[in-house]
Amino acid sequence: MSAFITGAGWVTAGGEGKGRNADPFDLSEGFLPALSGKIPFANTNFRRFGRMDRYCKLGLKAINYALQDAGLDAWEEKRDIGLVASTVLGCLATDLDYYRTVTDRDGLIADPNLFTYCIANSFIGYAAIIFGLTGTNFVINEKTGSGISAIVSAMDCVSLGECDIILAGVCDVEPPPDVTVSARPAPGAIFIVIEKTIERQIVPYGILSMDKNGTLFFNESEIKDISMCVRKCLSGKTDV
Amino acid sequence: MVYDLLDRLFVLIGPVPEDSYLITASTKAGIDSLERSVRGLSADMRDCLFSHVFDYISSRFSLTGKGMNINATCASSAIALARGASLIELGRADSVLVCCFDLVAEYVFSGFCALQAMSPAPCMPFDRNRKGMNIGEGAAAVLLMSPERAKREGRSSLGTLAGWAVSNDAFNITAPDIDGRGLTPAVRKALQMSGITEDAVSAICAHGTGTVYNDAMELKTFRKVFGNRTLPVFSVKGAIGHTMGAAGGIEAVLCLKSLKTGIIPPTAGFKEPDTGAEGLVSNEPAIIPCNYMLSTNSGFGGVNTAIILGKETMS
Repeated sequence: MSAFITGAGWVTAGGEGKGRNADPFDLSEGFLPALSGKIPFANTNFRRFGRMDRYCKLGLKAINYALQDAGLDAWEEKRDIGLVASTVLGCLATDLDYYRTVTDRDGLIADPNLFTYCIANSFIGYAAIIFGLTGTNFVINEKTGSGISAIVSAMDCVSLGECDIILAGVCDVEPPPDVTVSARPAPGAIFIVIEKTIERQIVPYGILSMDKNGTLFFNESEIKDISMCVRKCLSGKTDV
Repeated sequence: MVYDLLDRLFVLIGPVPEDSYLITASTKAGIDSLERSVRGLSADMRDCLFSHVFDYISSRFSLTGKGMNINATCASSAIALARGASLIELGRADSVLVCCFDLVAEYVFSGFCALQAMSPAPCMPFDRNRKGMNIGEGAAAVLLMSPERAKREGRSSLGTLAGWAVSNDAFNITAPDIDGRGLTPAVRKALQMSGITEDAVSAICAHGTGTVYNDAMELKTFRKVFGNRTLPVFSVKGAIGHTMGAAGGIEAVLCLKSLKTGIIPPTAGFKEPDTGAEGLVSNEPAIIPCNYMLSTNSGFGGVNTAIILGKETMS
């Protein structure tokens, strides 16, 4: 099974941006850039970004870059585009923040707004609203934050005709200080856009393929995590 | 507490092949440990990580295969079943254990209370006087197998997962699109994948949370897809509450039982039909021979699922 990669976007400790801007890419340890401020969403009616938790902001920002990179951020009618993400910690930091509002004053100030961010798929839900994405969508909790589970599942969805365009990626903020994680993921969000066929003017980064065992390849070279996939996208020109 | 719940489930599970792929479905894993930690009590915060709970299940069955947790609010289990079936369909696995669970905890209870989604009385799905949901605790496990392997191992089949689809409303983070514009295409896609028409579906196990918006959205969807058929629709949430990430798994198991026995469960708590529920929902069980049933789930984040379960055909 094979498909095209047409977009890549990221927000990591090493920088943020999108592939066609030649922005610096590095998934490394460290601190994420500031996630505040206005985001230039194509859907200018959306004004809630500043009130979101960090996890949701992080995922949304990277998805925005990836869709911009693929030329798919602007829309008029909702689209059957899917979104699969993997995460190690999910919204655990927000869970802790929310539950502290419960324990304070015996729950009298339990924060309903914060509770709506206590779902691992919050940024997927908001991305669906902002970008009109109605396709298959879910979050996978994996052990290492490699993102491979998300890409493999996305490719499965394309293989079975569940959708023709799908984003796959990872999203993890820094772990809360009181949580010990054995395989600590580097903080950041990275998304790629996968398309079964291309029916518009765009040159893809290359071909993503998967063998029958679920091993992934970019232009026939094996990839072991999403970071490697994006590096290969940025380093090579495609001949398709 | 999550391990206690899982241990109670494991007692009920027969032999599981050690090479099975494991897919768990849960939204909050061991959330009670987070509560204890915040309250300054002894707790292992690793229980909040799905990898920790995943390893517990994996070691319990000596599983050697890979796996993952699906986390998509109240649609988690249905998506887990769909992904498991995908692996078998694509030939990457021939045995997949899907394990669904979620706890009732103060964390969850307080959140739904803060959102004013909880009913002060037992919930009444599809009833005109419904006032919201009750949350419930539960777990379910389903072993998916390719027909070839099941036959080779001499296992009896409880039924088939014939088709599935996942969609997003792209509308609101907590409220569904009340016109069913998200769930409707999911149901249609699931029917298409199953290779059956609307007429082949004999009953619907609805998400039926007892909230005003969810139930109205589902009824509109069913009318759009199935027209004016008096198709039996039921919700188990009046009986067991909303088991959140485990809901779709528990409901799929109930559907398999219904397909086998031909008995459609009653909707506990239902008394007076809401607009659109007339003739569809009942608080009495019904005997209806079924070949296919539809099960739907929807959740925060705008996610919807539709799965089609078919009667056992192997024997």
